[in-house]
Amino acid sequence: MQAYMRIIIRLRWWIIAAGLGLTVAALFQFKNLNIIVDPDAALPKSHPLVKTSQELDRLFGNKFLYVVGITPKAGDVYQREILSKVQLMTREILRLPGVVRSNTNSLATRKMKNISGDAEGMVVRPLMESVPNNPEDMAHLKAGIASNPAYENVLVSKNGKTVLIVAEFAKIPGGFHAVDKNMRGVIEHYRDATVDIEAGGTPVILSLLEQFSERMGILFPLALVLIALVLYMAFGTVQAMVLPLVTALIAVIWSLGLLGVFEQPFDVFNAATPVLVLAIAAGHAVQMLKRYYEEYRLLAHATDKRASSREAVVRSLTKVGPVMIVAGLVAALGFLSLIIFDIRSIRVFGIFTAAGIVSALILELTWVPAMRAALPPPKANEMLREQRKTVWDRVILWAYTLATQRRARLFKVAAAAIVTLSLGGLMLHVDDSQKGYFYGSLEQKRDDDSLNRKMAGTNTISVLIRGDSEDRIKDPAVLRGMEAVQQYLIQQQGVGKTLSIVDFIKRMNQAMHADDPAFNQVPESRELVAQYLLLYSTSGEPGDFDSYVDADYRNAIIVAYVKSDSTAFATDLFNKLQAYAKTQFGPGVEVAIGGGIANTVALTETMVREKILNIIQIMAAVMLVSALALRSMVAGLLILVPLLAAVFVNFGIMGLFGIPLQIGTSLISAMAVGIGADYAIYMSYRMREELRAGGDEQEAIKRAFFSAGKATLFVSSAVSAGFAVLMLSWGFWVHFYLGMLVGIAMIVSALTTLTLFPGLIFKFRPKFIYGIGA
Amino acid sequence: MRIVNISGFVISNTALIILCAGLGLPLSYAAEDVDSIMAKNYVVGKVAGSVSEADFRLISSNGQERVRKTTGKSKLKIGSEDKMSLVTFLSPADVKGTMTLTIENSSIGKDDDMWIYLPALKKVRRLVASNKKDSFVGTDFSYADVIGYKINEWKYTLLREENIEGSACFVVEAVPKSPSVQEDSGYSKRIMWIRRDAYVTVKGEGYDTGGELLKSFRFSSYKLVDSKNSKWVPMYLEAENLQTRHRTVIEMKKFEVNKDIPESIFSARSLQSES
Repeated sequence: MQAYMRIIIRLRWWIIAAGLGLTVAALFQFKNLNIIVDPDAALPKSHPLVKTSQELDRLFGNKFLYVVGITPKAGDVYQREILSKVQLMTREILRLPGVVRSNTNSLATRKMKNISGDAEGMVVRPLMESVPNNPEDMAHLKAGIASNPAYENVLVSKNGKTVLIVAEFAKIPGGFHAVDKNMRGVIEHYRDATVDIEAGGTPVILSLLEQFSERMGILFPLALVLIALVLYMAFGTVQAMVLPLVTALIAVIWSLGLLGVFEQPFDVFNAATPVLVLAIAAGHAVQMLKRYYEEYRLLAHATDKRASSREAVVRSLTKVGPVMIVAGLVAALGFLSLIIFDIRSIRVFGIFTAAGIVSALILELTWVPAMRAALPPPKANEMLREQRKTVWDRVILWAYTLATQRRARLFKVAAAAIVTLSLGGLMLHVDDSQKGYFYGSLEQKRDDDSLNRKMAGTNTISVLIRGDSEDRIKDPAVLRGMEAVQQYLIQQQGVGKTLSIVDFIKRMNQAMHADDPAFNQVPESRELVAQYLLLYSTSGEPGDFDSYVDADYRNAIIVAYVKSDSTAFATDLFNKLQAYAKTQFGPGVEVAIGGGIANTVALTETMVREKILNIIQIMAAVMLVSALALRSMVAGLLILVPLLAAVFVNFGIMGLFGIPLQIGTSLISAMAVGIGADYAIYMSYRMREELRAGGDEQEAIKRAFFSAGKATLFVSSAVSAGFAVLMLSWGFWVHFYLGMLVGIAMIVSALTTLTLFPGLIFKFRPKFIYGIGA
Repeated sequence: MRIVNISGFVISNTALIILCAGLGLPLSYAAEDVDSIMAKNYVVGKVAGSVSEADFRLISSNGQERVRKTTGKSKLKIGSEDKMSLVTFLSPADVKGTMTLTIENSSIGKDDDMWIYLPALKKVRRLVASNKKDSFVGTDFSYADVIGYKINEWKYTLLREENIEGSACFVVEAVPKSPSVQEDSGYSKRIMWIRRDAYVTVKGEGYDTGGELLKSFRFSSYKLVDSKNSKWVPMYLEAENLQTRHRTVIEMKKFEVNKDIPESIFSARSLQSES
């Protein structure tokens, strides 16, 4: 190691240049980096909900519905000015990029028909061909809306006070943010003192998500500045402020570059993973730096400061290097073990983090010592500041006292914490709601909530009725089955309305019987159904029912408008519905659920399950590898303690505070597991080193606390403080949770490493620390 | 782009139009009066009587296709160019026997007549005559697209000449003369590509009342069904709704001129008794 270090120091400029060159090369690899921002790309393709949703998309459109609600300040919507607004806005919306014209509806769209009956039979006319300009026409429109199934609570609220334009959008360049911007352009143009206009629906929420996620561009650099500041406060030196962070950032850049080289995609679920790489890399860097200062202090009496500094570089690396390699490899192998997962996002998480750790190792063993050798030695006043007593020393002393002298109390507190956190864990619930990512006070959230109160709901779920042959849907038995499913659905909490071809066919039957309400039922024969539809088609347009039934009447859809996008709500509804719907159809007809929030349900279900498996696997891998590295099973188990504590606290706090386990928080939980092992390994080796050096056992242990232990506390407090800045991301719970939970995981990992972990070691005095003779 | 050679200069036809307009000169190919073109176009497909078989292929925006097989009979009213036509559905089975009857009334002030017969109901239903913009039995053609447009209700302008698949065509714009014609037809403007040689329409566009392009049409595989009277009938007709991306293709499987079809079958009463 020493000979190797001399080479590093001699070739320092070459190594610095090579390191920077590699970083530039890695930056160039970013162009090969396949960044997948589309969450659909990560959908579990084999999940039944996803399969059905994709089939539904293909057959009936995506149902990304942008909902605009227009409420007059005085009176109801049946006023010429209001309906003219609807007509003009609809025209403009139909010209926007990405709009799916055939699935965009308002009172003014061609597809909206008024089915009615007269003495001769059925009359099908456009609902509002032109804006009514006399009371008779207005009354006729009102009657048309009331007597047709598709309008009430979908296009006009039941009390007649709000009128809706519902526009379907496909994905366009610029994302839903662009869709939202275009729509708001139209809305603002028509907003005036006579009306309230509200906007809601999935595209609004997705647009918010896109906008708020972009805040990371400001928050991440801000977090880095804070980390740098805290490190400066801790060490009191400029090098401490800059070098660990630069190293960590280069490790992030290298690992991203490696993803590019190996053509691994970087997906949206890994957006926060660089935070983990940064935290781990900074952890190693601070350990090394701390040791460097310790060694330099021992040599500081020499006159040649530069030579002392280089000697300190050699010594610190000789001592800490092997520990770093062990800790780094334990973690890297733990993460790399994730490549066996089915979900690509988790594989990328594993590969990326492992690559980040290895990058950090390589940097710490080459580039950083070369830099340190090239930099001027620490100034005398810096060394003084580095030695002064700070709040961190007080914490270390408290932890040391707790672990050595008040172990009984420590274990009691730990036991109480385990019980409390377990109770919290029991309260933990799985639920994802994109609307729930945002503060209730946000305008977009308020609008959407308001529209949900006034109307049938801004979210949808769909039931696919899959027939085995053409025209199967026209079979009255199938239609009656669909009718039963709709009746079941509408009785469920949170379902505002259901719509299917059945509603239209029943309306046609009634119209053909002189509008007698007794005939608002499914007709007797398939021929009758077919011929009603043919008759309808002589007045309507060929695509009028495309949103409800496919061209050959093999597949149909029941659309349920729901008021919530919560996956817990949807999962419960799906289960009940599946069980009921199965019993309503004979052979040759299948029922499947999908569409709207079903994809989120599938993704949450899969992601949460797989992420928990991911956590368990990392723990198992870390235990095995550290047991092998330290040649002790007990060591493997003990190293797990800080990991377990971090995960336990994470889930416990989430349960206690009602934070749902969802895609975002499960990703953070999987990050929490990655930090603690390093701390425990550094601490173990340092205790072992100090004990082997001989002398008083208490003093030796204390030295370990104030060196490796303090470094652990430095880095965990710095990274937590840095990411706490995310909690200031106003309106966005995702950032709040990320800031809070990452911080808590780091602090808990560090504190456990400094209390419970040594406490257990002192209690059981394992051989891997105390040696054979212990 | 067509190149016209005048006095040794080679000028594109766009430039030529600008030039002629600037000099106040009429364009040479405008020599044929647009109204005469339209009059010839109106009668070119009017066959005294016919028996036909056609497949209606309805193609949805996502490519799903349905085929309806039909037979048709048509006849011109005695002493006029007004067409009467009867379409009977053969398949799919659940609409078998459904019939539609359309009778053109070109005399001013009189509407066309449309009926449909539904066998499951054993009922003849009269369709409101002013709804000529409505779909012709679920296709992307409207009744008016099928029956034809009354020449005197539209104002025609010859826009230019263009080659379509190797044939020189007049490009004619038609705009409704009155708001009620626009309302009834659903078109604020139609553009037709009419072949110079045979006066048949090969391509068309229809703009909705908001001025947006709504439909495009293609007519091809023209067959000279009556050489004595120069009657041409397309064997392939296609309409696409550009707003919904729904498409209809009508393919004539058989088309025979037959003058001896009795006029009596083209009545609502006869529809009812056919059952």
